[in-house]
Amino acid sequence: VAVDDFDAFYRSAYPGLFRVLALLTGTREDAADLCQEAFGKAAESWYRVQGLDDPAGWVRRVAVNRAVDLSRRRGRQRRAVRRLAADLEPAQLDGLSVEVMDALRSLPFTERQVVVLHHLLSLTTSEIAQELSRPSGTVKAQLVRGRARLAQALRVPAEEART
Amino acid sequence: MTDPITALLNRTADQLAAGVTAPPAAVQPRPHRSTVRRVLLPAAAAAAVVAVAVGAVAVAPSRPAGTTVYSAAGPELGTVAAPRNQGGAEIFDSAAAGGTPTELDLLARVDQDQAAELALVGARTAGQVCVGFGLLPPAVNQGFDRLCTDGDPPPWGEQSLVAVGTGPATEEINGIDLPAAAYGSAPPGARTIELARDGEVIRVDARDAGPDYKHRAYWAAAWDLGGGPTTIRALNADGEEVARTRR
Repeated sequence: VAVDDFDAFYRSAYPGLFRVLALLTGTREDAADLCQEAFGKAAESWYRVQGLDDPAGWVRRVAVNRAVDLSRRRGRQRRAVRRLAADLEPAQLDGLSVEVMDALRSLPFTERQVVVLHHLLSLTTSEIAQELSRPSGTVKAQLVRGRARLAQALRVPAEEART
Repeated sequence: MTDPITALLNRTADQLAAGVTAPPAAVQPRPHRSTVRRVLLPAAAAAAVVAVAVGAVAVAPSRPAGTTVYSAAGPELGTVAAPRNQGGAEIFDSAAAGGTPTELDLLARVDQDQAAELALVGARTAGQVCVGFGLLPPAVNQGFDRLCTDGDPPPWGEQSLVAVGTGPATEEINGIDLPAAAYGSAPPGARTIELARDGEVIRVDARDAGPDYKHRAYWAAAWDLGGGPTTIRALNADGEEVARTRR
């Protein structure tokens, strides 16, 4: 078993995945938990995952899809107890980033997934559709809607979505 | 030229992920067609089953929720049975870790005149220690905001005196009005937490969480940290200041 290979993969892929998940979930804790789970699954199936064209994409797919369940759970929790801006996370968001996170959170989670994957990783709608197992047309519509809502919330010009 | 939304999202992601690297502990792939080895993953993760934690009292899962059990080796306020399928204990659950805790450590509680009670609770497992803040069982649809570590330091133990806040909220399903609250942890030996702002001062008890939490003293208070700068002091049994912070 190529422990060293997995270790190297884990260390190189972790920061990038964490970045996507932090933006998607809005918290470093949730991003760390999702990374944990996804890399755990990769470790369990490493003999298979390491042979894929894009092992990092496989782990990302696991984590991003798992984030849907987490989002539902978090939504229920946050209805009861909402954390204020004052928390323990070392990340200090400036005012503009707080606005961005508020705008992202205002999107339905399925739209947020599409927007984050498209803008952070430059994935095309076809690639996102494959990753999220959704029809390409649905992804395209979600991207257009999500971009328009973000643009309005952030007061930036809405451009045509890259596809 | 990068479009503005892409630029804004990247900028925010950079801030969220500032300083993040892969946690340093070992991660082992599972061998193919061989004896399954345990997958060890580092860093914060949701907890596994809290059956009988080290030094804690063995509690039958059938114990009614809300019944508190005390142990000299456990948290000062005792343990309570975790509610099942009510959205509370599951926050400590993780498919990777393998289960939902059957009991929760009662670390601190907010005095309030409510049908439900806000409390700081914890869950201990073989490799993880978690704390969360939310409605104490047996209220349904409770919400917990939680943090897990490997126990060293325990959650909210990385700084001398830690204060976290939640704003006032209404639990939508049950319509329970929840006050703003502040909570956190203080160094071992702290017995009182004092919160002060503009001449207003309140004091609440800090409670020893026991050995699995490195004897950190956890506390909770009905106090709105969003209402302006607050000076927070931790006092020992003699009333001497042992830590101070400002939020």
